[in-house]
Amino acid sequence: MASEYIVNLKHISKTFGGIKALNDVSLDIKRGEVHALVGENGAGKSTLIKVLAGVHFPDDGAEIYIDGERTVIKNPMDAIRKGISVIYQDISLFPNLTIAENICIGNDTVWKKHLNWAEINALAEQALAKVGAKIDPAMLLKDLNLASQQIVAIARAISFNSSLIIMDEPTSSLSAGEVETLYKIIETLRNENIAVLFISHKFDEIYRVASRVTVLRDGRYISSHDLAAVERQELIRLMVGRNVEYLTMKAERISEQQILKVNRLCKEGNFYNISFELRKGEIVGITGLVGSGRSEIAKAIFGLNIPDSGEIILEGQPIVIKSAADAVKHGISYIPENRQLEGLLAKNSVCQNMTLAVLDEICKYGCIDTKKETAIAREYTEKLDVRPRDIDKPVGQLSGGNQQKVVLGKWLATNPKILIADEPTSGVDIGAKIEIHKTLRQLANKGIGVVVISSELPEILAVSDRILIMHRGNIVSAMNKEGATQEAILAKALGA
Amino acid sequence: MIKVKRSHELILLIFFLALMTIMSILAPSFLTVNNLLSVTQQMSELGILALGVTVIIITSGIDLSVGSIAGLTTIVIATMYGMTHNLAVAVIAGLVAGILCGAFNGVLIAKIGVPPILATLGTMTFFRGIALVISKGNAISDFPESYYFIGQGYIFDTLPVQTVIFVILALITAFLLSKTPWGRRVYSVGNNPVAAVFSGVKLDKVLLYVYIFGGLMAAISGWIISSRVSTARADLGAVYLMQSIAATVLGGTNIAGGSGTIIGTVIGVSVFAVLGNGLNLMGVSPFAQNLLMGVALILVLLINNMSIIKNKIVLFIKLNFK
Ligand SMILES: Nc1ncnc2c1ncn2[C@@H]1O[C@H](COP(=O)(O)OP(=O)(O)OP(=O)(O)O)[C@@H](O)[C@H]1O
Ligand SMILES: [Mg+2]
Repeated sequence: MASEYIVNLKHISKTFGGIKALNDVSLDIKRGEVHALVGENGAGKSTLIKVLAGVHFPDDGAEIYIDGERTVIKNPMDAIRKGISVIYQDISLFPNLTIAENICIGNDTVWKKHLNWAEINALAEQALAKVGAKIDPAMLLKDLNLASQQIVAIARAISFNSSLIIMDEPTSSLSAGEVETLYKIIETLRNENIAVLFISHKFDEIYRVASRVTVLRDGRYISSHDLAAVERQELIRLMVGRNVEYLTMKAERISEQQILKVNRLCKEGNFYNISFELRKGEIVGITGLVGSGRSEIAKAIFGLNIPDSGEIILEGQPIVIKSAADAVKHGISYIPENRQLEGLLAKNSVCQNMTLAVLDEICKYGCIDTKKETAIAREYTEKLDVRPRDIDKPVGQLSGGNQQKVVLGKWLATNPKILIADEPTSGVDIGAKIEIHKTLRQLANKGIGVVVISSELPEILAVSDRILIMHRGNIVSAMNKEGATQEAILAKALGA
Repeated sequence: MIKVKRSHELILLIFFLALMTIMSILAPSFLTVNNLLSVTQQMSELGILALGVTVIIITSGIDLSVGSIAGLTTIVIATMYGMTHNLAVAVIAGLVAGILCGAFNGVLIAKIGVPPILATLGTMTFFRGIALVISKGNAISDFPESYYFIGQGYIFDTLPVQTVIFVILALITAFLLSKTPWGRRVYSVGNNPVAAVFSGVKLDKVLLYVYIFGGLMAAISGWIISSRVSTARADLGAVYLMQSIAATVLGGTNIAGGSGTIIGTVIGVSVFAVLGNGLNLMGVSPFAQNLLMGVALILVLLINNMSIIKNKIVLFIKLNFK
C-alpha cells in the first residue's frame, strides 16, 4: 500500500553565502491534496520549492521522502522523473518551440533519438484535453498569452505523470476569468489524485482551493493546519507575527484641477475610443480581464505604445509622447506589470536599479553623485521595507516581493506628477501590500494623480477613488468608490 | 578611483603577478625598466582597441569591424597627407573617418536593429574594401618625420608616447563607465534592454554613442600603429581584432553583456603583452607562443569559473559516493 504522504521534507536548510534562507524546515504533503504554502516576502517559499524541484541542493542533514521512501533529488529533470513538476512564477518554457514540443521535451516515452511527431502531437493533445484546454499544439508558445502558457506548463506536468505539481504564485498575472479556469484545472488534478502545492499571497484564493496550509516565517517552519480549522486572521498572525487588515483610505482632497485627460485614444487591436480624466490627488483604478487593454493604455500614455489617434492632455496642454524618456521628462511614471522583463536589471544592485530613472538628477558636474545616489536608495528601501536592507545586493537575489518593491522605489524616486502603477502589488505579501496602498494614498494626498491597474478586486476597491472597468479594449463602465462591489465590477469586466 | 572590488579582477591580478614572476626568473632581461616600458608600448595599440571593444561588449554587442576601421584610418591619414601636406588635417580626417565608421555601425545596429555580429561582419569587409579602393591595395609610406612621434617617440626620453596615450584613454573610459550616467546606461542596456527602455533610457542613442566610441578608439589605435611602422596599409590592425575580444573577455567582461570593467581589460591586455614579450626574450618560437597564449586564456577562464566548477564537483561526489 502506498504511503499516505506523497512528499515528506525534514530538516531542510539552505544557505546562500552565509545567510540561511531556510532553517530546518519540514513539509508534508498528502497524496492528492491541495496544500498552500504561505509566508511573508523572503520567508523562503520559493527556495523551499526549488530544493524540492532539484534547482537548489539542500545543506547537509536534509531528508527527502517521496512516497515514503528516502531519496535524493539530483537535478530538475530528476525531480520531474520522480513525479514532481513545478510551474514557476515566470513560466520557464521555450518561446520559440511549439506547444507540443514544449509539453513533450525530455519525456522519455516520446522524446527519443528519432522523434515521432505523430506520437508527440498525440501526447500533447491528450495532456491538453485533460486540463480542458482548446489550444492547437502546433502553435508557437510565444504566440500564447501568459495564462495559456501556464496551462501548457500544467499540461506538461500532467504528461509526465506527476504526482505533485507545484505552483509558485500562479494567479499573480491572471485576470479574474482566467483564475476561475485555473481553479477548475486544480479541481481536475485533485480528482486525478494529483497533489498540488500552491504558493500564494491571496487569502481568498487559499481558502477557495486548498485544504491544508503550511506557514513559513524568516526561513523557519511555523506550523501546518487544516484550513477548515484556522481563521484567516489567525493565519495572517502566524505569517506576520501581528494583526493586519485591508484598509480603505479615503482621499483627503481631490482638487478640481485636471492633471491628465485622455481624449478618444485609439489603437487598432489594443483599445478603442478611450477617454478619461485624472485629477490632482485622485486615485483612479482600472480593472478588467488581462488582455482587455489596460496595460496597453498605460503604455500608450508612457510613450511605449504609439496610439493611432486621439490626444493626451497634460495639465491643459496637449502633448506628444514618443518614448519613455519623453514621458519621464513630462513627469509621468509607469510601474510595469512584468518586473522580470520590464522592470529589473537583475545583475545590478538595488541601488543602481532604484536610481536608473533619475540618473540625470543625481548628477554633479556630469558625474553621478554617490552620496545622493545612496541617499535615494536608502530612503526608498526604508520606506518600502525592502528586505534585506542591503542596497548593494544584486536584485536578482532578492525574493519576488522584495524585487517588486525595488521597481516601485525606482519610480517613486522620480517624483512624478502622474504615477501609473500596473499590478503594483503583484507577489507582495499582505503586510507589505497595505504599506504600498498607504504609500500610493500618501502620494495622491501630495497632489499626484495616480492610476492603479489591478486584477485584484479587493485591491481596486481599497485604493481607488474612481473605478474604470474595461472589456475588450473599451471602457465599459465607470463607478465611484461608493456603491461599487466586487460582484458588480466582475459582471461588467466579463462583458455583462 | 579604480577599485579592484570584484573577485575576478583579484584572481586575474594574482595570475598576472605570478606570470610576471615566472617571466623574470626564466628571462633575466625581462624585469628591467626599459623592457617593461617597451611591454607597455607593445600593448598600447591592442589596449586602446580593447577599450572600445569592452564598452561595446558590456552592452551585449560586438564589433568585428574595429580592425578594419584602424586600417582605414591609416589609409585616410596617408591619403589626406598626400593631398594637403598638412599633418594635423590628415590626422583629424583619419579620426573623423573612425567616428563615421562607428556611427555607421551604430545606425545599422541601434536605428535599424541589425544584430551587432551581422552588422559588423558586413562593415568589417566594407570598411576594409573602402581602404583597399582608396589605396589601390598599396602600402603608403610617405610621411614626414614628425608623424613618427606618436608611435615611436618618448616623453622625457623614457616614457613611450603611446603608453601615455593608452593610460589617459583608459582612465577616461573607466571614468565614463563608472562615474557618469552614460556609463550606467551602458550597463543597464547590456543587462536588460527592455527594462532600460521602460526606465526612460534611450536605447538607440546609447548604442549609437557606444559604437562611435568604439570607432574612435579603433581610429586612434590605427593612427598609432601606422606611426610606429611608418606605413599605412588597409590590413594594419586586423591582427588585433580577435586579440582585443579575447583580452576583454579575459579581463572579466561578460560576453553576454551587463558587466565588465576597464581595469579588468587592462590587466587582460597586459597578460597577453607580458606573455608575448617574455616568450620572445626566452626565444620561444612564435608558433609555440600562440599555443601558450591559448593555454593561458583557457586557464584563466577556468579559474574564473572555479566556484561553479567546484560546486559541480562537490555535488557530483555527494550524489555518487555517499
Ligand atoms: N540565489 C540566491 N542568492 C542569494 N540569496 C538568495 C537567493 N535566492 C533567494 N535568496 C534569499 O533567500 C531568502 C528567501 O527567498 P525566497 O525567494 O525563497 O522568498 P519567498 O518566500 O519566495 O518570497 P516572495 O513571497 O517574495 O516570493 C531571501 O532573503 C532571498 O534574498
Ligand atoms: Mg517567491
